[in-house]
Amino acid sequence: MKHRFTIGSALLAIVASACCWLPLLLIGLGASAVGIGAAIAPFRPYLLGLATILLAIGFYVSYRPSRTACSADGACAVPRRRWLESLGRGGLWLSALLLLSSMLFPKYGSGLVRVAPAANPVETDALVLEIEGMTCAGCEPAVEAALARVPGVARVEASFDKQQAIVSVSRGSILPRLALSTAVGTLGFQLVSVARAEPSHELPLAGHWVGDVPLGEGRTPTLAMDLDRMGSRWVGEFDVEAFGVLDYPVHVQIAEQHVTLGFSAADAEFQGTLQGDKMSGTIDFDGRKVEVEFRRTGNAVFSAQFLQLEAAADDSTRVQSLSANGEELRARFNADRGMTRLVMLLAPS
Amino acid sequence: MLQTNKSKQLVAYAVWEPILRTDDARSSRKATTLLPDSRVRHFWTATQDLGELFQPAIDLTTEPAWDVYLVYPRGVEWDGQGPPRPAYFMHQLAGRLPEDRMLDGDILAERIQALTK
Repeated sequence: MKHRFTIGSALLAIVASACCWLPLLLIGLGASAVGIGAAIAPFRPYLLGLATILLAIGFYVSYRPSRTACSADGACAVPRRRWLESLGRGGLWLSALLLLSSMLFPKYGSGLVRVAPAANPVETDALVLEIEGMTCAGCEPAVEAALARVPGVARVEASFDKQQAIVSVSRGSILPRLALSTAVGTLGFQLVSVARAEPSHELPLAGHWVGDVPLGEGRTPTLAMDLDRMGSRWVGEFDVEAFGVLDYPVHVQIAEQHVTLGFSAADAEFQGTLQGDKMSGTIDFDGRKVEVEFRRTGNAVFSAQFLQLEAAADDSTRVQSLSANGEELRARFNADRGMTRLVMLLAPS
Repeated sequence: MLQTNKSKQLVAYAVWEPILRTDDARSSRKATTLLPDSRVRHFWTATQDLGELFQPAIDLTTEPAWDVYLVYPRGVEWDGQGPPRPAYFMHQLAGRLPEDRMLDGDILAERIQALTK
């Protein structure tokens, strides 16, 4: 019976820390944790408590005075199998060690496995990834291992305390942001946003910009936008919270200090001049022009959802191009004649 | 509608057309994220010719067909140059097509459900 307590406490101790070691193990096997570790984390204190209780019972049962009647010369009514007792007690102490290790894993586990820095460092840009869902410091190596596998990532440093990861990427690399989100998602966590850790002096237009737009009739909404360069392309999104406009794309053109920003969703265009942390010019609203000055207030921060849309936009496999007469659609329609078909004619905007 | 009807006997074609000034191939790829169902096949056409081809199928006279949802049962084939008339359709073109066919997801789902049984 005492062996059952030994085994039970050992198993519970292992399960209790699964939130930390399981993602690491599954990543090592090339599989996805799919939130298993995160699902177990809330029950960790209870599992550890139960394991402790079982272990305590096991020690008591093992070391309590034997009830078997034995004579002075050692002969017992029921023979004592000392080797089995020794084996059982050894198992108990091993379980105690295992339980202690499980309790301490979140503290030291992050130091066991770290992504080694690149042997030949190249010029890099640092990105700050805001991540939701890390439950302990033991999650850090799993996050680092997952992100390190993303093409273009040179170095990763995750922080449970800050709920973020700093990712160094090769400067100028076309880093698939969707891959970052997917890598984090395989662990059951969520990528919330991506931002530059430091301003890029080579990209004076990159950053978070804010400006008040005087529309007249007492209305002066604030337009905020995030601009940055991803690979060979400028990417931007703008918000006008007063009108409920969030995360709409900005089309960017820059030639030396002259900047053109297209806010197509608002049917507006800005043309102006960049001077340090200021951008001055006019916004054309369908023929009506207003003077605007944008100020840079920080680094560009892109939501994970926006980045997923940008990644989708770069994925040419998502749609099949049709010729003007739709011959390809007709062929597909007829090939699927054994099924019910819903044809939707839609505009992307 | 796609969330309520999980039938494997249903396939959907999302044909993205350049109707608004901001519509292009890139925006069509972004738009595919609105319909993540694996039964949906996405197409992009760079002209409004296909929309014009569908006009007679739903008696639309004012403009190329867009924001329309056409349902075809099993066995129907597209033989001629123009597509066949659908067994049922709905739209979002107020004032240009019958008001009783304005898009209602529940009704559309019911109609499709009946055809996929």
